[in-house]
Amino acid sequence: MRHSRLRRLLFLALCCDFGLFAKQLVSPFANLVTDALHIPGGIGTSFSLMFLVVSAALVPRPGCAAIMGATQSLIALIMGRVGSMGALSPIGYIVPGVVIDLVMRLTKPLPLTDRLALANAVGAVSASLTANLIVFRLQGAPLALYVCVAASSGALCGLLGGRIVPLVRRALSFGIQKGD
Amino acid sequence: MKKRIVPILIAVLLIVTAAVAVWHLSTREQYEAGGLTVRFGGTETVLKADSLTKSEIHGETVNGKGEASAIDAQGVALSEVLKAAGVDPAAVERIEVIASDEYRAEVTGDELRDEGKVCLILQDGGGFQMIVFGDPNSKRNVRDLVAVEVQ
Repeated sequence: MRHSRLRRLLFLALCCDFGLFAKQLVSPFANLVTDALHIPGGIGTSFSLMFLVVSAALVPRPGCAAIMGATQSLIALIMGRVGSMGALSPIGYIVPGVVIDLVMRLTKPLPLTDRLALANAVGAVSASLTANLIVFRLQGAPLALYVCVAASSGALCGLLGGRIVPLVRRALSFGIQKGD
Repeated sequence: MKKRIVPILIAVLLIVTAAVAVWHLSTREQYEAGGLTVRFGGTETVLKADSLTKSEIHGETVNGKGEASAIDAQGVALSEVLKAAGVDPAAVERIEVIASDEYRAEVTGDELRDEGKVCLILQDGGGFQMIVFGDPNSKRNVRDLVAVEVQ
C-alpha cells in the first residue's frame, strides 16, 4: 500500500514538471499558429494542462489538480519562471487546477475520455481568461478567438490525455476507478 | 451504447474557432508594414522608422526571473515619437501601446516625460520594441509595436 502511494506521488511530481516544461516543448509550433491568428497564445497552456488532467484522472482525489497547480506555481516561483504574470503567476496556475477538479467532479457519469476533454477545454479557457485579466487585456474579436483557440486546443489535448491514461494506468498499475 | 458528445463538441468548437478567426482577421485593423500609427484626438499619423531621428539607447532591463539584460540599440524616446506625430508630451495623461498580436501595455504621462525611461528601439527584423527602463519585470517591453494611442 505504502509502495503504491509513493508511486502515485512520484507520478504526480513528474506530471507537475512535465506540465511546467511542456509549454516550451510545443511553443515553436504553437507560436506558428497564434502568430498567424494575431493572438498572444492559448495552445501551449492547453497542452501543459493535459498533464494536470491526466493526473486528476489517474489519482482521483479531491483537489488533486488544484494542489498540482499550486505545486507548479511554487516550482515556477523558485525557478523564476513566472512569465509576464510576475508575482501573480500562482493565480494562473491554481485557477485552472481548481476548474479541472470541478469539471472532473461534475462530469463523473460521462466516459473518461469525454471527461478529460471537457476538463482540459474548460481548464484552458479559465487559464486564458485569467491571463487576459492579468496581462493581455484583449477585448472583442481577439479575446473571442483567444478563448476559442484555448477551448479547441484544450479539448483536443484532453482527447490525447484520454489515450494516455489507459497506457499509464497499465504501465504503473494504478487502480481502476469505478465508472471509468 | 453511450452517446459520445465530445467529438461533436470538438467539431462545433473547431467550426466556431474558424468562424471567429475569419471575423477577427477580416475586422482587425490593418497597420502599415514597418510603420507606427499614432492616434490622438481623432487623428492618425503613421510614422516610418526612417523619418525618426534615432540615437543610441543604452540601459538595463530586468525580466520576471530577476535576470538583467543589457540594451544597446538604435532607438528613439517615446516622447520624441509623439512630438514627430504632432502631440505635445506635456498634455499626455496616459498612453496605450498595441502590438501586432493585440497585446497592450500602458505608459503614464509622468513616465513618458521622465527622460530616458520609455524608449522605442529598432528590432533586428524591422519594427519597434518599447522598453520601459526601471520596471521590475519586462512586461511592458512590448515587441512588434504597431500603434500608440494617446489619451
